[in-house]
Amino acid sequence: MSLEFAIELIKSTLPRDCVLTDATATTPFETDGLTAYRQRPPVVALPRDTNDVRQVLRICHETGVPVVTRGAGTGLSGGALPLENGVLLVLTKMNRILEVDETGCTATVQPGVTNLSISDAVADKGLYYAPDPSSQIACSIGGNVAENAGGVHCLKYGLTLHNVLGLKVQTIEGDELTLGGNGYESSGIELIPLFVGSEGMLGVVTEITVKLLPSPPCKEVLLGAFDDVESAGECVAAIIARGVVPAGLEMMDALAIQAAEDFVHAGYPRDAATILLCEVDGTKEQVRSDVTLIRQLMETNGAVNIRSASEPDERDLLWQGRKAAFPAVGRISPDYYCMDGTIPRRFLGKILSSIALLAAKHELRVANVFHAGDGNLHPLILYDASDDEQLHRAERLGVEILELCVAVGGTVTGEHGVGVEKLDPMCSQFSTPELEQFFRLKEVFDTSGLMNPGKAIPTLAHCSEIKGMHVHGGKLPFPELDRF
Amino acid sequence: MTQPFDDSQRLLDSVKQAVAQKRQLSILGHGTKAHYARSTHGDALQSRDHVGVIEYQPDELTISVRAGTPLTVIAETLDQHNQMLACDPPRFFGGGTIGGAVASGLSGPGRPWYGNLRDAVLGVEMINGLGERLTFGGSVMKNVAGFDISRMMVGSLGVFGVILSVNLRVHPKPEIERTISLDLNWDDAWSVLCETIAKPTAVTATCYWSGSLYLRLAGNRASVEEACSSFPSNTEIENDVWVHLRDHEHSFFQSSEELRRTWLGRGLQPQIENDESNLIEWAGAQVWSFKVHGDSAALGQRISSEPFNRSSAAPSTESKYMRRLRRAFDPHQLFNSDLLL
Repeated sequence: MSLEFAIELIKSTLPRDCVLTDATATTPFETDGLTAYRQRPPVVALPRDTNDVRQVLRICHETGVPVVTRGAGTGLSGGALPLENGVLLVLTKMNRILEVDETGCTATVQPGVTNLSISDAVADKGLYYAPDPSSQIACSIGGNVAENAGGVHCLKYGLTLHNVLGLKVQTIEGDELTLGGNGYESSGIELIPLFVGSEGMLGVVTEITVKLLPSPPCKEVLLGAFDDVESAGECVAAIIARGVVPAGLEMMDALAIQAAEDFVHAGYPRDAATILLCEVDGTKEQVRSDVTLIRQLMETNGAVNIRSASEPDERDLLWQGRKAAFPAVGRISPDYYCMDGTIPRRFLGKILSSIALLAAKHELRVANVFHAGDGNLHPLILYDASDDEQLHRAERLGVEILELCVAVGGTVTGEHGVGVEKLDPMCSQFSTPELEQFFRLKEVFDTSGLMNPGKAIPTLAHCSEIKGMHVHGGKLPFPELDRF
Repeated sequence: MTQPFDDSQRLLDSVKQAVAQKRQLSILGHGTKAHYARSTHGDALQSRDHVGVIEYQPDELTISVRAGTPLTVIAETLDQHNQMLACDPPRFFGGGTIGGAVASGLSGPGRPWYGNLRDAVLGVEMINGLGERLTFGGSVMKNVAGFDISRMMVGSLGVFGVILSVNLRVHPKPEIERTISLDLNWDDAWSVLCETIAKPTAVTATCYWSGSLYLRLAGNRASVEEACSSFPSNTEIENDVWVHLRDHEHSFFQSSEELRRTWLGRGLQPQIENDESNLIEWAGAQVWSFKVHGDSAALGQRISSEPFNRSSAAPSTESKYMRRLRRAFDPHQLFNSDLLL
């Protein structure tokens, strides 16, 4: 009843073309980038501006109807999965760049602006926006803020968090919070870290001020091919230990290399066990000395083949293979399930062997793509969704991989978020008091529990169910596996 | 004094006891930032004995340290592997602990180029006001599991709980650092400062005071030399100046008047007289002055201008949520209860 009432109120408040309720119109919103989960929303609201957002939130608050906020819907953890009984608030109409400050190197934008269009808009000024998730053509900056999105250049330039200076946030109670601004610091407690990565659980971000960086005058990409994963891992450690922080440092395994090469023909060595892609940028002098050092380190760590690319076209081609790795894997399997664990890098070899063992046990193939510089793993589990049993096995394998990541001191999600997908492994990463603290924190901004409920933080009831399933007689599952 | 020692059980017991006896606590490290923010309500809870590097992984660029560990010990540890804490928090009176640095959230002169302590924090272990030992974040660079409570602790003045340990990202030290001084009027200095933000340069710190612009240039030898030669008629000076500025030991700071700190938006030129009454850091975004020089409105469009003393800060505009947030962590108002947010 309250949902129907809320829909009527929204219809009477927003223009007709900003409210969708027909199944044909709302079905495209039933899933985000995690397509295994679907729920058609009963209503989609498309606010034109901050005032529309405030109206929708006010209606939800008054009627007690939950609200899920969504950007471009490219998220990979089901954070924007609609609710059967809630409003889906889609911010894609709010897609204006409000201000570019060339002197201060900042841009103030609405949440529906796509990540790449910020860089495109300031390119002629010699500036760019650094975080570059692979979906940057389509993903919105609001979604990037909600997920604290990363990308291949985070090691040097940081995550979304490190590149956001200010936020305007609407709370469900009707307050507008102005956090940060266009400076480096602001008075009082910094709430920006709380809202960045909060997956729509605390409020709706309606304005974002980002930091722009000067485009580096010089860039070079090196590709090193290795006969085994361990040597490539040691090479990464050696590069960092020598004081170089590359702009990007990526690793791919044999299955991922082959799939990417067949797809984009980037010239990757198809017979390599692993490749390392390493980009350095900066002044000409800095790049020259870094490239010499990295080439040397690749050689001493057993690279069998090294290529370098300094021209933009050549560099783009080398990156294309990496950035297209997910769709490339999509070509060799009906479906794939992308994991996002992060580990202390020194455990890479052990984790990869354990993943291989687990994959064999579940009779599934796994391709590995890895942000090697910052320890963020993306094992892609290949499966066929039309077979329920295979989906189930893929999900089990995913959970077990994430448990391994937690066991070595890592985390269940580096950059994709928890959403609905990683609620189970969150139970192994956090204790009961920690989860309770998260819920008390959510209540601060969302007293009635209407903001994206059921996502990101598992309830204690959920965790006790999960723990019952996983631990039998006090034994961890798969005792044959090394827990390090 | 710097022998590693795990004092966490005593700290936990003290908090539990305070809950049971309804007593308040004021958290204390070295006490070197008492002039900035110091709670005087309740029993002192000393974290300075909870000391030591728990784990340091130079080739992962991470270090995990107990809250009472002196900043000097961390710097020495990192130096052995040619690394550093890039945000370079102040060591007033030559002291200070990492717990105190996190609680106060202050950054050194390299802030715009190296980030602040919040940017470097990867995880914390803490005790909340219910006497629960909690861990948030981790020791990996990327981690979006759960709300980012660890970074919220930076600058929170201890009101959410007792920090037990902090995991931090560290940076490689640049191959060389050089400092140059240029005699420029403020408008010409401002043009140079704008370039340091809008163009890729070797600059990693700036300061304008009394007609001189100091620039720190860092990187490999070739790029630093190239950068030096791009500034005609510069004078090379000692790198120590940045330590003196960071720790407020520079002669500018030697005054008995009340020190004020003003923050401005990036790219906004502070409107100052060409005299010695203002010291400008962070490419113009942080201005130090003394009350005696009068109206800080003259500094132009600013984010905030207040005495460098958070103990007496006025409640912020988001105070409704701040009060709730504080209660969410510390329902009995145990910690630093006289410190406002």
